[in-house]
Amino acid sequence: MTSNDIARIAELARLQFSEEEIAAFTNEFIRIVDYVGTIASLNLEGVEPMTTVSGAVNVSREDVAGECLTSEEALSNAPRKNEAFFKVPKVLG
Amino acid sequence: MPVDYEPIIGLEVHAQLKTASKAFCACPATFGSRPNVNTCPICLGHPGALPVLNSNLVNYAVKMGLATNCSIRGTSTFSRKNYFYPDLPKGYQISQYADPICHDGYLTIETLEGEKHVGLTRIHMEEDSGKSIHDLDVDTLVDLNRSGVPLVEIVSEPDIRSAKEAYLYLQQLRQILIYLDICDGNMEEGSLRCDANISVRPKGTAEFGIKTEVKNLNSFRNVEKAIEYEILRQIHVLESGDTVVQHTMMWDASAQQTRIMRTKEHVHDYRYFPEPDLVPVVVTSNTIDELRSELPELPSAKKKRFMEQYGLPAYDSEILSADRNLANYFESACESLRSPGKSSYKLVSNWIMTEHLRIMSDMKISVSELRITPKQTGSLVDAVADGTISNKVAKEIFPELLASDRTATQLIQERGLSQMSDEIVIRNLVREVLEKHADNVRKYKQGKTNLKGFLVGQVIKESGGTANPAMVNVVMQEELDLISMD
Ligand SMILES: [Zn+2]
Repeated sequence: MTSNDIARIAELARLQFSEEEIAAFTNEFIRIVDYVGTIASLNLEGVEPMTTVSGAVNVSREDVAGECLTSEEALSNAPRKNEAFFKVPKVLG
Repeated sequence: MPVDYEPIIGLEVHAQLKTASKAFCACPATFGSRPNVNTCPICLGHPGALPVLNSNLVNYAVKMGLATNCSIRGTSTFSRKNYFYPDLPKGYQISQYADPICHDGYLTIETLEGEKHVGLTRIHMEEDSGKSIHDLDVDTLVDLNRSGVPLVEIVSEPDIRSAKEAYLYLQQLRQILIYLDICDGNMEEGSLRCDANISVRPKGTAEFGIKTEVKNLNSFRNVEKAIEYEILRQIHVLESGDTVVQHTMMWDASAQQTRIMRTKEHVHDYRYFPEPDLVPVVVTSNTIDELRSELPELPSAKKKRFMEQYGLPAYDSEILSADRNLANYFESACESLRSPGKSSYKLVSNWIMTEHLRIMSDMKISVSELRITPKQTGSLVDAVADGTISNKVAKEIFPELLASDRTATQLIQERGLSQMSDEIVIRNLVREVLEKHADNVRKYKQGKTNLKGFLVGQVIKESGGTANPAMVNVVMQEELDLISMD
């Protein structure tokens, strides 16, 4: 973990940090990754990755269409909108 | 010696599934509605909203896997694919990563060199994003009706070697999706989308060249043209001593060329991780057997059966079986025939392939919208086969059948169109009679002209008494005059 990695992770998360913040995060990230890294010392041969803790499988619903929000409700939390759409700053097509 | 290049092509196809509701919420998965009316906290990505899997997403994906010779994974999981884009409200797409539900299948395409297997690497389940509209100068508008609509992504092996093969592969994939009734297959409207990974290498070398990915292939024609263009572009780059750069390209249909998409310079890093809000999907062998039993006869099997059962040529069988509804139409028309048999089946096929398909393409309608039923079509073929009308008259009354709900037989009776006013049929009868009574014809030619009445009578008798005597008279005279007796 270097400050470059942190800058890259911040960029992917669309977060901006100062040089000092990045330096601080770098140290914290190194500690976290080291801590998680202790798992690498275990012999995990034949151990399946655990994706959920409940052990439940096949939780699903019937394919039936139900109620939706109205467009007014859907748009009600949007910081920018017009009468029908969410509005965001211009994105390249 | 010039280097001979070999293209290496793999396709990634996204198929929007025809479920009633979205992948992880109960919002309708249908479109055509006003923007942002098919949404709820789940597909809007509101914090705390939890996805619940639509059972048909699994069923449809498994069916597609079975129809494409895939292995079905006993246990598979969902993952989050993380990226930021305004039409992806959660900031991640729910998809599958390491353990797709279907894997290692193949399709058989028929190339000029014979049958060829194109491998399927995987079929996985995922959700669609919303739609961004970039038409405005200042803002981008976002419609989230499509957000969360179920998709399967079908990834081929790099087994495809030409634009034509890519076309054939995609065509077959589309046929199967439509046969299974799980996707409407409309490329122009985006319910079937195709990206192509393309590279070229000198023929005979084992290593793959550097590939580009071409997106925005929103029609079959564009798929073929874009791949052809990109192959030539890459060969040109290599021939000029340069190297191909790994870009994401898009097909610009108006300029008829591929061009580099404006993307951020860094490659995507999706940071996949297991979706903690969804539990694993387990598909038992019982479920697989059940879904397999629901599979319809697939296009390739149907084509083979049409050739055997109806004695149709490969060409007819291919065209008729390409569309499940058209194939059903053909079969019901054949079933309605009064005189079934291979020659009548071929006549049914001829009618459908010329008249019906022409009308469908002229009027831009589907077979179910045709205003002539299979039974009417069958009655027309019967009328020609049993000699009631000639093929010529059949063609003439075809447009009237289209506009009515009468059978050909009814129309022929109403309009008095039976063979007796059908010159071609009468002429055939006259010729038959003249051949049968050659000795009387000779006597007629020698001067016994009153024998003409006898011959006309024979024709009317042959016709079951319904022939128009005046017309028989005229035709008889013409035919007699044609006979020389030297
Ligand atoms: Zn929803």
